[in-house]
Amino acid sequence: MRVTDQMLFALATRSTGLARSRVEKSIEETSSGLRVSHPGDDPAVAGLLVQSRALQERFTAIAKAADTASSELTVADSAAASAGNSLLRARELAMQLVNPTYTAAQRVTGAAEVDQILLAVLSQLNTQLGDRYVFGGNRDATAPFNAAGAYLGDTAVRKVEIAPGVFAPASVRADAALKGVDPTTGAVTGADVLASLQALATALRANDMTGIRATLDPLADGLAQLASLRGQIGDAQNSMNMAVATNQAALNDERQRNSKLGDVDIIETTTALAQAQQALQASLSASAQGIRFTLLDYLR
Amino acid sequence: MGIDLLSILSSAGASLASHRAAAAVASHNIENASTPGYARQQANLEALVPVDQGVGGFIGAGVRLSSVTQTRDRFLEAQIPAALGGASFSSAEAQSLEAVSALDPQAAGSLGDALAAFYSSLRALNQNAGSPQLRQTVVSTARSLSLAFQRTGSALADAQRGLDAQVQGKIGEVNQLASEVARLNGAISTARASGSEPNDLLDARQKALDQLAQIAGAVQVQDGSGNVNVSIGGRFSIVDGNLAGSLQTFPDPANGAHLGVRGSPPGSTTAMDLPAGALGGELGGYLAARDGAIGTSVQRLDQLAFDLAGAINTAHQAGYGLDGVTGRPLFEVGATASGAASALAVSAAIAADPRRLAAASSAAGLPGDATALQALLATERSPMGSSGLDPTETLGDITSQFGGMTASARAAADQDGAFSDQLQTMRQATSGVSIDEELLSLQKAQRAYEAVAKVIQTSSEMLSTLMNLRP
Repeated sequence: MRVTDQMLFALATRSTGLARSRVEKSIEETSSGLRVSHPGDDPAVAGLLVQSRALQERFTAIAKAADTASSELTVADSAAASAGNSLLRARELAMQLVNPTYTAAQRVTGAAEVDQILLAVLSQLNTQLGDRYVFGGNRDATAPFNAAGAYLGDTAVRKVEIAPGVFAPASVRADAALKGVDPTTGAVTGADVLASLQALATALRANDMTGIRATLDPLADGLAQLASLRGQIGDAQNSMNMAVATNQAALNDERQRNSKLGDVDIIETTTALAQAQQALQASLSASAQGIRFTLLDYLR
Repeated sequence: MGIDLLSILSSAGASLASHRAAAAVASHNIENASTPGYARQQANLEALVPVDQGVGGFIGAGVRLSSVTQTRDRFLEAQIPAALGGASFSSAEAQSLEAVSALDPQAAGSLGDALAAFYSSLRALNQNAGSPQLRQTVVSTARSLSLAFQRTGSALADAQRGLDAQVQGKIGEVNQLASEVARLNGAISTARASGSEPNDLLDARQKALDQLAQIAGAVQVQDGSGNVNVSIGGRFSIVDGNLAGSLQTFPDPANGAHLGVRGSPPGSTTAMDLPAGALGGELGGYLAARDGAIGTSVQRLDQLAFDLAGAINTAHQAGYGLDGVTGRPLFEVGATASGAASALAVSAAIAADPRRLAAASSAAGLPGDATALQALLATERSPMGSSGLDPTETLGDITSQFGGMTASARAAADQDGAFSDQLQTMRQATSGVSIDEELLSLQKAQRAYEAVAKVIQTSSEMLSTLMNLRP
C-alpha cells in the first residue's frame, strides 16, 4: 500500500485522539466513582439506577416514619404503664379501705388520694408527643379525655406504612381500654376505668362500704384492659421496630445493588487508567517515529 | 534530410521546458501535500515521435509534456460520499444525544430524586397528618417535583432548539456549497474546452461535493458533459449543471414549531417540503436526534407528568383538607399531555395554605386521618395509563430508552466512522501526496534538466567547432 504523509498524520491524529479519549474516560470514571453517568453509558442499568435510587429513598422514608411511630408508641406505652400503676394503687386503696378497721375519716383521706389518682390517670391518658395527643385516634389535636373522664377522641387506629404498600396499626384505641368499649361492635362491654375511679372516690367519701366493694371488680377489669392495651402497644411497636430494621436492611441491600450497578470498581478503573496512559504513550511514540523519517534529511 | 545541430538545439530547448514542467508539477504536489481535498497530479511525458529518418534510422525529437492528470480511484470515489454522509449522520446524532444531561440517572437533584422525595414527604405526613410542618414539607416537595419536571422538560426542549439552530446554520452552508459546485461545473466546462483537464478545479469541486455529502448526505451524479449534478434524499435536485437550488427552513406547526426543511430546485421558486428522514449527513443526524430520541423523551415525559398529575389529583380530590373542603386538585396541569411537563405546577390554593392539603378521607376524621394520603401513596406503585408502569418505572424506562438510542447512535457512529476513515485512508493511498515520492520526482526532473542542458552545451560546442572550420 502506498503511504502518504497525510495518511501518517491522519493516523497519528486518530490513534492519539482515541488513546487520549480513553484516558479522559478513565480519569472521569476514577474521579467521579461512577460507571454510568449518562444513560448511553449503559441503557439498561441507567433505568435500573433510577428505580434503585427511588427504592433507597422509599426504604429510608418508611424506616423513618416507622421509627417516629415507634417513638410515639413508646410514649404511649409509658403512659399506659403509669396509668396501670395508678389504677393498681387505687385498687389497693379500695381493698385496704374496705376493711372495717378503717375509720370514715381515713376513707375521706383515701378519697382525696383517689381524686389525685384520677387526675394522674387523666393526665397520663392525655399524653402528647410533640403537638399531638397519642390516645385520641384521629382527633389528635385536642385532649382525648376531659376532666369528667369523658372520651373526646374517635375510634380510629392510625396506620403507618411498614413496607411499600403495607400499612400496620401505629396507635391504640384508648376508649377500649379505659371506657370498656368493644372495638368491633362499639358497645360498652368492659369496665369504665375512669367511672370506677370516680365511683370509688365517691364511695370512700360517703363511707359506703358496699360502693367501695363494688369498684373492686371493675378496677381489676380495668387493670386487665390496660394490660391488654399495653400488649397492643407492644405488638404495634414490634411491627414498627421490625419495619425499621427490615427497611434499613433493604436500604443497605439496595445501596449495594446500586453501587454494583452504577459505581466503578476502583481497582479495575485504576488499572484501566494505567493501561490507557500506557496506550497513549505508545501511540504518541509510534506516531512520532512514523513521521520522523523523511527523504528531506538525506537529500542535499 | 539529415539531423542538423540546430534541430538538436531546438528539441533540447523544448525538452528543457518539459522537464521544467515536470519539476513544477512535483513542486505543486509538495506545496499541496497538506491541502484538504487535493489529489496528486502527475506530469505525463512522452517521447516525440521521429518525423524523419536520419543517418540510418529514425531519430527522435526529444520529449514533450503530453498531459498533467490527477490520480483518483473512481471505485473508491463512488463509495466515499455515502460513507461520509453516513458517518456524519451517526456522529452528529450521537454527539447531540450525548450532550443531553437532563436524564442522567445519577445526577443530584434529578427528576427521579424529586419524585422519590415527594412520596417520602407523603409518608412522613401519613405518620402525623395534622402536622403543619409536615404539610409544608409536602407542598415544598410537590413544588420541587413540578420544578424538576419543568427543568427536565425545558432542558430537553433547549436541546431541541439548539439542534434547530444547528440545522439553520448547516442549511446556509449547504446553499453556499451548492452554489460553489454549480459555479465550478461552469468553470470546468469552460476550462475543458481548451483541451486540458482543470485538475485544481476538479479538486475544488470534489471537496465541495464531499462537504455536501457530509452536511446533507448529498448524492452526486456525473452527466455526459462532465457536469456533476447533486441531489438530496434521492428526490430533490439541488445542483443541475451550472444552476443551483437552495434549501430553506420553516417553523413546522405539525412538529411543535421546530424547523422543517424545504427546497427550491435549480431555476425554480416553487419549494417542496423535505421530510426529515430524507436528509442525511449532519443535517439528518441533528433532525434524527431532535425528533427521535429527544422528541420521544419529551413526549413520554409530558405523558408521565400528565398521567402522574391526573392520578395524584384523582386521589387528592377524594380527600379532605384541614378546612373540611374536598375536591381540590394538588397539581395544575394542562388539559392535554402535550407540554404537561412544563405546565405542571402545585395548585395555587394549596401552595397558599398547606392546611388545604387533603390527607383525610372524611371531614369527621380531621385532623389526624391519613387514609386519603394512603391513596395518594398508592399512586407511587400504580401503573400509569399510557405506559402500564408505575411512575418511577416509567421514568426508568424513559431513561433506558433514551440511553438505548444514544448507545445505538454511538455504535453506528463508531462503525460508520471506521468505514469512512478506511475509505479516506485508501483515497489518500491513491490520491495523497508522498513527499518522498515528489522529492524523487523533483530530483529526477532536475537531473534530466541538467542532462538536457549538457546536451545543449555539447551541441553548442559542436556548432562552434563547425563554425570555426577554415577552408
